[in-house]
Amino acid sequence: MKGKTKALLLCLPLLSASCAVTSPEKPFTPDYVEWTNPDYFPSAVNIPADNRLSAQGVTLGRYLFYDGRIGGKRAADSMISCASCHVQAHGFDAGTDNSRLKDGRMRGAAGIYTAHVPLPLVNLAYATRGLGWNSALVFPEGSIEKLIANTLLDTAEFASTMRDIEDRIASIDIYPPMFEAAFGSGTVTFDRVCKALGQFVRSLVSADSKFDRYLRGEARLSDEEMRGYVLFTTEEGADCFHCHGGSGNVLFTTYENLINGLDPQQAFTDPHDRSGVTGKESDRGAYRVPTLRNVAHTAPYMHDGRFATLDEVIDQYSENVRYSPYISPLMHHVKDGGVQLTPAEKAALKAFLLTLSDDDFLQDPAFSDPFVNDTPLP
Amino acid sequence: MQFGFSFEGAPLAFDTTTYRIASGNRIRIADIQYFVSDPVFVDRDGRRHGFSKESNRIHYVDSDLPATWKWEPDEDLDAAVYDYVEFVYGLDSAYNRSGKFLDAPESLMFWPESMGGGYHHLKINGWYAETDADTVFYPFGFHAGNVSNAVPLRDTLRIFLVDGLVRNLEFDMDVARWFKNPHVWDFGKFGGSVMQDEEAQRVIRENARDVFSIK
Repeated sequence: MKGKTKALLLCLPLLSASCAVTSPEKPFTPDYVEWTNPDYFPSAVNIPADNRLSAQGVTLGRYLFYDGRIGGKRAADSMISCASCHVQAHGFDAGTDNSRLKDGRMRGAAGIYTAHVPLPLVNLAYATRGLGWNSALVFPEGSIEKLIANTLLDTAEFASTMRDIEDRIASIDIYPPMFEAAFGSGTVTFDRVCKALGQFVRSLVSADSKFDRYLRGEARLSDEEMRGYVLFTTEEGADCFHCHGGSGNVLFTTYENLINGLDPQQAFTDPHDRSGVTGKESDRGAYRVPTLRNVAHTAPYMHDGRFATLDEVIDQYSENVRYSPYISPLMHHVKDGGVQLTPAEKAALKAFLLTLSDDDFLQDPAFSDPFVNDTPLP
Repeated sequence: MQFGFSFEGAPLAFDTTTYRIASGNRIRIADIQYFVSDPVFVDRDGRRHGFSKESNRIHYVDSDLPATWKWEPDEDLDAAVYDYVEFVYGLDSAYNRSGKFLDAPESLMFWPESMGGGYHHLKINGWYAETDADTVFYPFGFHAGNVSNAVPLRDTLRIFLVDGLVRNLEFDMDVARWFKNPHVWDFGKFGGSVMQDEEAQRVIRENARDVFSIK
């Protein structure tokens, strides 16, 4: 199964230069990608019927993802790309060394800061609940394409307009032929930009960490990693699994919106938390559970990026869980201030978390910057 | 079949309503998830009528997901007079194996392999206060699992099924009864997490017999 998955992901750049048939006599038929899953992954994916992945669409999406001109801007200091905040080496999260990161927020194209740090773009094809830290977009009404559209237009992110994006991308020589290959005509539309980016984002599947190989019977966890895994999946251990999954939920998130004991109630002043969407008092201070895939590389942690290291995160859940009236019922250990791990247990838990790193994913050329790593298109 | 939740006969309210359980503890309920499996209708002659498709033998109920509050098997039962319904609260052991469900929400019920694998039968999540003097409600997860913990139950009622007619049944969980009979549940004793507490698991299993009703 591993081989199948990698085949899906690796075949895309090889096909990127092929051209779809566009003559009026023949229907437009790009090279659709056959979606394959590892057999322990969810079978449900959120691929819309009108935006199936094709080799040409994913390739176009990859170029757009890394192109600082996508926001329609021309001034060098306002050109950002998706990759400015979603860095491959950081699991398509920001990274603590990101120049746009300040005080747990990202500086957008117009100099305005986002409400929160980014979430990693990984395995989003399998997301079937909410998107964003407050799940403002919920499937099936929401979609990855809508998330992308919102991001491009948000004043705190790309701060652009549909027209500016269409005009700027259409003015770049490489793109009209790529749009023709992906969509059947060279017309650049905002909708197509979002669709191509959506295809690339869905192709970002991470399924080859050491833990994946353990699940497939291809690797064994060390004694310490296994102790960490047991701690991760037991209530009287670190009790992570109810929110962050495990062998039965390999996305390593439930996509639930929860209050995780980060702060006491009086600190719940963020208008962009879950209550900002629902209006419910019980959702104040609640945020979507992020995935732990590649978590060793996705710092800073929490919605406000307050933690720079995994050790800080583990300490938080071990000793610093704060009570609030609607704290998630899954945070049973708040009564004791946390799960109270020993130093050896913390080390074991961290060792397990490191097994969720997928080095191939973090370095996969198919997901890398094409302007650096690919032969320029004709 | 329509699924509902009640507390001592009244519809259950979530999150903000405080209830008193038999031990005197006060609780608020956040959400409930559980499986029902293997429904069998037993007629007046003692013959057992079930569904042949596995998809009609397992149902997941989630208080947060209205789509799960209705279960419509796509197989017909024979027209007959049935005296009672048998069902399994939780997953019958024949189905309760790791990897059975790959997709949410059912997959989120997984029971860790280090504790035997399979799936939770039940999750009731909420907050509790041990005494009336307590001003703080602490979180609890009233979670049950393990392969051996599925409980065959029956509810006696007379159901007339007539050819060509759809019969609607209401399947209710009275949450108060999880904490009442035959064992009075005290959060002061069991605390907020019970997955690794064998006595708590036994109590939940035995209390399950009085919780569900069908009408």
